[in-house]
Amino acid sequence: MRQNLKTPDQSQTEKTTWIFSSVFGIFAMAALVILSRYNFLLFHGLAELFSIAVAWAVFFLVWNIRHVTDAESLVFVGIAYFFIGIVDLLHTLAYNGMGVFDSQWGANLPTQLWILARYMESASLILFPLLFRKKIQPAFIFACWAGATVLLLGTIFFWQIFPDCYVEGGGLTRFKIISEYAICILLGTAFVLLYARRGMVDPVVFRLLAVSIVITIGAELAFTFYVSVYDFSNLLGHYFKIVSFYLIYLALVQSGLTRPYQVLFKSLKDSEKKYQDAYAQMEQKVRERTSEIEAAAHEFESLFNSSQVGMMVLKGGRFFAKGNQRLADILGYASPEEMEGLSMKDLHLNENRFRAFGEKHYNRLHHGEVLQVEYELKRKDGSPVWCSLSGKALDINRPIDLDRGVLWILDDISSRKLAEQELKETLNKLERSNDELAQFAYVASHDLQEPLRAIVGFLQLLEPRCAGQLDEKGRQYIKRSVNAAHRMQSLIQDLLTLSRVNTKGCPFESTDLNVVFTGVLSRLDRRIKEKAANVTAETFPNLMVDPNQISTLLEHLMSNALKYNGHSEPAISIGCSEQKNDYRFFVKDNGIGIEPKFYERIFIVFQRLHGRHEYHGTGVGLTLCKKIVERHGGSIWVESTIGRGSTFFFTLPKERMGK
Amino acid sequence: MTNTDNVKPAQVLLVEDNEDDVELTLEALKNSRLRMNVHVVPDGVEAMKFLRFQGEYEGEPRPDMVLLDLNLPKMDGREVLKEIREDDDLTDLPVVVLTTSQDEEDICKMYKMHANCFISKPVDFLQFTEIIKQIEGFWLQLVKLPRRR
Repeated sequence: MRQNLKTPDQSQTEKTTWIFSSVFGIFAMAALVILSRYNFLLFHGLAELFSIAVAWAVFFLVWNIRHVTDAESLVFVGIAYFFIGIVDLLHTLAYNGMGVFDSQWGANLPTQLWILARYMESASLILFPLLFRKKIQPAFIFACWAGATVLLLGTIFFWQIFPDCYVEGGGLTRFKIISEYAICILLGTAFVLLYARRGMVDPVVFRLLAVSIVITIGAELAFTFYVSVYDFSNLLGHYFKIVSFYLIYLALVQSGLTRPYQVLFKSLKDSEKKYQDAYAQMEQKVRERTSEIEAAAHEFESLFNSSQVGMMVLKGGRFFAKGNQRLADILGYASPEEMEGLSMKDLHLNENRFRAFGEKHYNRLHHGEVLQVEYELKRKDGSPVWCSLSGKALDINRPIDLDRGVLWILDDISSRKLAEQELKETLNKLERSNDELAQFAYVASHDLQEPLRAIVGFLQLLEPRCAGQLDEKGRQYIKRSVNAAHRMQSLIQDLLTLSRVNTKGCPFESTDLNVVFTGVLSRLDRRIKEKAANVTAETFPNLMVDPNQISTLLEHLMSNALKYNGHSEPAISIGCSEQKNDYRFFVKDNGIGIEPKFYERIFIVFQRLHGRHEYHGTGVGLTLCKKIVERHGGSIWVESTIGRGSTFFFTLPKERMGK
Repeated sequence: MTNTDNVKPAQVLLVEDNEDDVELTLEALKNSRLRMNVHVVPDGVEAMKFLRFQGEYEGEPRPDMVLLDLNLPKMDGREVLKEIREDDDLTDLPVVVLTTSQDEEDICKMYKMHANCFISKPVDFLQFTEIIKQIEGFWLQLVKLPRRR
């Protein structure tokens, strides 16, 4: 069917039609030729009527199929031929001897009407190929043609401005003759246009129209040659006209009636082809998509099955629907198949926990959030197992329906939990032992003071009592024992302070370090003046610190800077610079300096670099400084050049963390 | 018994477990110009018994001042002070905390418990003597205390 549009029946019918019309045509022509010999007026009337009938037949045919045809340009031509027919009718009626119009119009009127009709005809045939595949509004086109026809007729009958075509005595005017040639040229143009666009029209219709145009040109040429209205060329012209009109009719019948099936089938075939192409394309796409989906599903499936984390999908809220081997392993089942149909209740240690879990967490799943918790689940044998759980609802619609599925990813974290637990215990132990140590140091220092007091006390009681019995050396010994005891007391005092840094520190509070520094300066005022030291300081920030400890820290560093300084003009500068996470402070002096190998050692308790007779001190000061800075989350270090001075740096964090 | 008669010796209760400290304190008090009876008890329990004239302390005088050490066996100085302040008969008794402690926390706590004063014993005996002199001068001579029944 698709391959063979013309069925044998159809071609048979066509052939019959052709034979019939040809035979009828030849008979009609012959009859007309004979008739023209006897009564030319009658011949002309009939010939014209015949062409008018054809023109109107064209119109009515076209008008009735205007809604169903896809040959819209033919509809345009059909409408044009209606009005051409009207003008031709007027021409026939105005013909010499018809006696319809006043005789004063003479032979000029039919000739004018003739020329007008031919102009209209050639115009419509030129426009015809231009309108191929264009959408037209038949009613609008009809109105346009009607308006144009009325106006053009108006130029002849009403305004009488249409150029004369026949002058009584002078014969045909120049206008008439030139018009005939012009019309020939217009028709030639129409032919060229049609030929150029022949691909857009059915080949049979093209052939009929082309022949029609050629014959119309022949008709026009015949009329240019005629000498008398009754001669042969006139006759031939009319024949040609009838044939050309008939061919237009045939073209229409061809495209609109005789061949509607073929046209229909052609459209159908085109549509079917398009549909088949689209279908094939779609099938191809579906195949591609299917294989993509299959690949993705396969990928997911293997990922799901071989994943080293447990995965399961719950359906209907809390029922196990799908899981992987790793999940079964974690929960102590032989395979995921064994878990099919399990309720989540079976995975919780008890029903209360199951309920509490739902109340606590399911709200987040309902909101489409990813839920992440660490939670103890129950294995098949009833033993607990620590798991990390991540859950997410699979439903992508809102509101979320959890019955549509929830994906859970879980991992066994028992070993981590165990390690965490151990770490926690170790930390606790460490903290306890640290506390105990500090407590011990405190108590020890405290209790050490009592015997010391006794030693000093009794020695001092001894001195006046035995003054007489002791020689100078004996008195010296007592004095030195007392001094030693005093030194020991300082040591104990410092140890006490040291042990109190962490245990007895005050809470951190927002502190203006400038105020703290002013306090330190005033306490060191006497020593600064004694040494005639030059102290310069920058502005300090506000920080969350233990103000007493920072005061102690600054005092020790300043005091060291003063103490270990033999310069004739001791200079101490203190400042601070802001860094990314902390402030870096410095205390710089121009004192004796420290050898690099001692940079670490000076911060160790009781480590002294100098003999007692050179510089007093217990060797606890910098250790205390270090402890204070560390309690605040900072660090302390020194940079120095022997003989040039030392700079102690320490940092204090901007954000308070920990304690 | 009244405290108005300066001829009568002042009664002082020293609560101290360390014998060395007792000795040194007594030595320091010896230098006093004041006539003074110093009673010594070695722990808190004994101190309370003394203050309440219980057991062997029946017939002992009521002290004009208590010198109280903090770290004591059986019942420490903090508890003793607490009991004194909670006892209607003793609540107005001047209590001087005399201890080796310099702990801020102790100091605050003792004042909150209405110790009359807190004194940290210095290591140096000469300084200690000076302090004792000032304590007795202040508490036994200078200040007016409520009349005893």
